[in-house]
Amino acid sequence: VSTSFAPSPGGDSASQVEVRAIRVALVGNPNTGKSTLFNALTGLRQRVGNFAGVTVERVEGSMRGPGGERVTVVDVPGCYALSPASPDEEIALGVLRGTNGEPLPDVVVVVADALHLERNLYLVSQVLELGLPTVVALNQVDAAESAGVAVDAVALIHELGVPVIPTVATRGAGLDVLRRAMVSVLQQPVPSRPFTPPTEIADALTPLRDTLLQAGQAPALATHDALRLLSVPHLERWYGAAAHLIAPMVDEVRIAVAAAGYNPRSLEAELRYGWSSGVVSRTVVNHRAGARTTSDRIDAVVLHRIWGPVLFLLVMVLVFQGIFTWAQPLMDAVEWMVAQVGDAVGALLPPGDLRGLLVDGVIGGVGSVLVFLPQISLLFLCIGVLEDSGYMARAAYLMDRLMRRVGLHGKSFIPMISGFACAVPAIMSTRTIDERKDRLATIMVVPLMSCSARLPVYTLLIGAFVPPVAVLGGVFSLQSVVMLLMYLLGTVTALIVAAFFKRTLLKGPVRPMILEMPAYRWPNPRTLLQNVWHRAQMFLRRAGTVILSCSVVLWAMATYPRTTIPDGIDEARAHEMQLEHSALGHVGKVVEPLVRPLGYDWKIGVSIAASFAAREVFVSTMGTIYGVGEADETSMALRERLRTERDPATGGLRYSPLVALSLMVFYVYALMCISTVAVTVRETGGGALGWRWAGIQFVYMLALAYGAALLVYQGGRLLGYQ
Amino acid sequence: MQQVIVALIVVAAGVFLGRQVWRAVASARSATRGGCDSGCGCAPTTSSRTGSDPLTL
Repeated sequence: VSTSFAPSPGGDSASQVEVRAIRVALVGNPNTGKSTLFNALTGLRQRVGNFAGVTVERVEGSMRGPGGERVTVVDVPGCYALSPASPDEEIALGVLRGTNGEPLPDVVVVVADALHLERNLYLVSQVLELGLPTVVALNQVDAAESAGVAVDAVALIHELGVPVIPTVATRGAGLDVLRRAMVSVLQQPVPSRPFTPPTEIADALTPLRDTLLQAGQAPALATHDALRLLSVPHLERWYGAAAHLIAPMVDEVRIAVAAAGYNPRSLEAELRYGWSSGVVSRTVVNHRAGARTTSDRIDAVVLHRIWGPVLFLLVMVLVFQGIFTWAQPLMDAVEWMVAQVGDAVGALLPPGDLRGLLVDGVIGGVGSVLVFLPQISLLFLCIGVLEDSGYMARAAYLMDRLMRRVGLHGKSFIPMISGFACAVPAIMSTRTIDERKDRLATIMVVPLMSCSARLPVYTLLIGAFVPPVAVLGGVFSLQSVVMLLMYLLGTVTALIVAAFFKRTLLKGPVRPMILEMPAYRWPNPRTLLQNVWHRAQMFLRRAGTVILSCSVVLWAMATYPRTTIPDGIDEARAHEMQLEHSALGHVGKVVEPLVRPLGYDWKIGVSIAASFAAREVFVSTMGTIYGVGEADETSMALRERLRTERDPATGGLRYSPLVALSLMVFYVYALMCISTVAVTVRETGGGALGWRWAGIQFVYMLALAYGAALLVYQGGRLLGYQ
Repeated sequence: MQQVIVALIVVAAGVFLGRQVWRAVASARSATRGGCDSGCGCAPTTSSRTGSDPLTL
């Protein structure tokens, strides 16, 4: 941190302080709008959502202060108190205390929700005791006003002794004042403890406080930590092997506190809430206290014992119906464009390897994946609406009863739903789960939730082999119902596997869920579109890097070495022979015996093997293989090729709906994603242990995929399907 | 000439893919805190509470 203060004689207060660089930490309770404020201040696009636990990592951004200062803003995961129970809360504490290699912040901005000020003041009181220059951003004042809650910011300034700035981060209101306060607060005296513990408590804490001071603790923090330690249930969690050194003293203080007539475990909470309750009574007026809010009225239906789950299922069916139906015109347009580009490039270049590489490898491979961009964008739009409206937390609540039977609680369902988008951030979002074994069990099953990378595989196979007929009274199409079934299969299996882990390797008690229900609100169109655009960019980047590279390499493997084609063989057969004698063909022949029992030929076998890089590579590999194996240079949609592909030996159709179903089931279960393996290693602790958990995850999912696909194909054949 | 260009593109793609795989493995190997403590078999390789935090007596 390079903050310097150079007095300028005779200047005003602002010019007296020259600040070259300031480090600001944004902290607050979950879902108070910290990330929205961070985005508004820095111009970045950190992910935001209307539920607790969206941010699970610290993120840095920069901005210019009103006097041109370089301000580094650090957004941290939300926390209710500075006594972290979960890994994401530990990150917040690390930033505030300047531990784990973090520089100490120069300024702390506590983002407090104006509608729930009493609860938010708990954290404010703890931050004030850190002795750092502090500003309170009283956010969502518009929502509070709508709910009839008026906060007297001036009175609050007097109560807290620090600047209090009313803001509406979504609209950018109050941000200029906040920016100025973030700099000017450096000139003001550091805040002090906002309340004084009763004398008998302060006396009882003294020995513990002195020990902490001797251990190098800053005076401002010593009382704070001494108070905190009384309520910490497992000292070893904080001190490790050194816990036994301090435990006797903590026990003595607890006895002294109990003798004074207080409960040592709840002492800190009682003192702080007693104080915050007093502050709120003097600074907040609630004009509609006790009145039923709109969110309450909506929740009466959404969280109803019967209608709630029915509505949830209906929402999911609508999402998949939408993904399948509404994206189709755009997908057709992209498909047409890819075909035009392929034809144009094919016409421009002379026949040869370069044309083959560009048309069959690059355009055939990448183009076959790009077709799914509209569908993936729509999926993220739907997930964004669910997250932003506040429905995600309700879904977790609805699933709590089911999750408890499994051995987890509803909080684990939020990472699982996030897994529909991508397993990597979903696994990271398990940091919000306090209980270690629950967290690990959730990590182990999150990749079973069908992520967006599986969408191209499902869509390709459903589009090729499931007829678009209307079902369920003509409201839904069979294609979207099959798609929903694939997602349900993954979800139900995830619950069963979680139950298995919680009863074996990760046995532990089921704890009650405490989850904040955010108020319903209309999703912000700008945020939604930004999120979709960001995801679309990520998909395009992936298509332009990993998928492109895979397509190029696979094209080369499918093209070389060149084989001598005997005279008199028709062109289609000649291409097929070339493909079979290529390097890819040789690899395919090795893989084929393994996948033949599942109903797959060598082409599907190598596509599955290649998709270990990324699941979408299955589609691009099939696109490349059929591009190379294509006799003419016209671009036919991949699903048409799959539907009409004939076995040269028998003359019959090569792929059937049964093979497609077996393949989809394989992809529901198989963990074909290097990034997921890497994040599992990291989030389960890293090192040998991390690799062990990732290994267990990979192997059980592959075994499940193979077994289920085998069962589907062979079972289907036994029932008379081909 | 065409074949030289094709060979260069294929080699570049292969190198890129190799690098991606290496980066993924390296990112997993550089893992530190997962937030887990001992007890469930997922203890972090470096504890988040062994830094300069004075609470770590």
